[in-house]
Amino acid sequence: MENITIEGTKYTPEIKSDIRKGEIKFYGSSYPENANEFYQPVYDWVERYFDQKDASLVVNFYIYYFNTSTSKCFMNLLEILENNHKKGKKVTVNWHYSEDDEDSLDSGEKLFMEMDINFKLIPVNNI
Amino acid sequence: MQKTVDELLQSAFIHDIKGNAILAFNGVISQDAIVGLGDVLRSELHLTYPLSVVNKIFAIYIEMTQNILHYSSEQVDCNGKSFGKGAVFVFEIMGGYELVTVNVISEKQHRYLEKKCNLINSLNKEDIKEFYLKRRRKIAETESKGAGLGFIDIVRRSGNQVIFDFEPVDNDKFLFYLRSKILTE
Repeated sequence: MENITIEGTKYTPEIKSDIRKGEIKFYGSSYPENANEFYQPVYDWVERYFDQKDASLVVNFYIYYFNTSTSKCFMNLLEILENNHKKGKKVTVNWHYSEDDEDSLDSGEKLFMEMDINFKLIPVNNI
Repeated sequence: MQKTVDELLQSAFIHDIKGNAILAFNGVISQDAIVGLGDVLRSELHLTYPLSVVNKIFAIYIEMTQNILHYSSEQVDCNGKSFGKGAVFVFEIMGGYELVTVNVISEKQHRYLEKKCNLINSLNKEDIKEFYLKRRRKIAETESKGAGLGFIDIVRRSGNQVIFDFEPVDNDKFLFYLRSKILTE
């Protein structure tokens, strides 16, 4: 199993995992031209990661803006995490939002509605 | 695009906006163009407004321009990718901003968009939130590019109805005008 490493751009987040720590991190903005295409390798990586016995994962989001097609992809990703949580895997999601931007808390909160998943909403001074 | 920036500014739909254009672009709306113009818009807004306002206007700008990128019926191929053509304007108006996009659509898109815009404008604030969440759940299960959420997001974030119009051009084509007003005070 290899780590996933996607460098960030102005419109796509940096995505990096640390298998030793059991963590994956998203950092930046997300409004790619084709969000499905961009996030497919991430879904694949997460699925493969959970194929490992006793895999547990902490997902850290530091996303200060995402467009609507990305929000659909985040829902897909959270559903994968939810399914694995239901199978007994340990999953924690930390959504970091900008203290100065109400919308960034609101859009984070909305992602987790109806999701059966452990999540924390964490205010950050400066994303 | 059948019209120039000047002609579009003179069109009835845009002409009655009482404000200064801080951004005007007409041409190929590639992802790079969206990012570049978006940077210009953000730095202009940053001079006056807190991050929350800048992000709100930016988010609406992205949804409106990416609609052109994906759905304009005038497409240009470049390096194996396809980009939509259209126009985007940002006006500084009394108490806020008004964003306008214009692009060519087909007869079929015209029927779809008219229904969609009327539906979204008929919802109140609470309904809009609920509709957005329900719709996103449903769309997450499909393979769609994400269409259908953009308009709801524009109305949800701006807190105002969208203003829209269709102008027939030749060969069963229409110009689709879309306007969103964001009050900052």
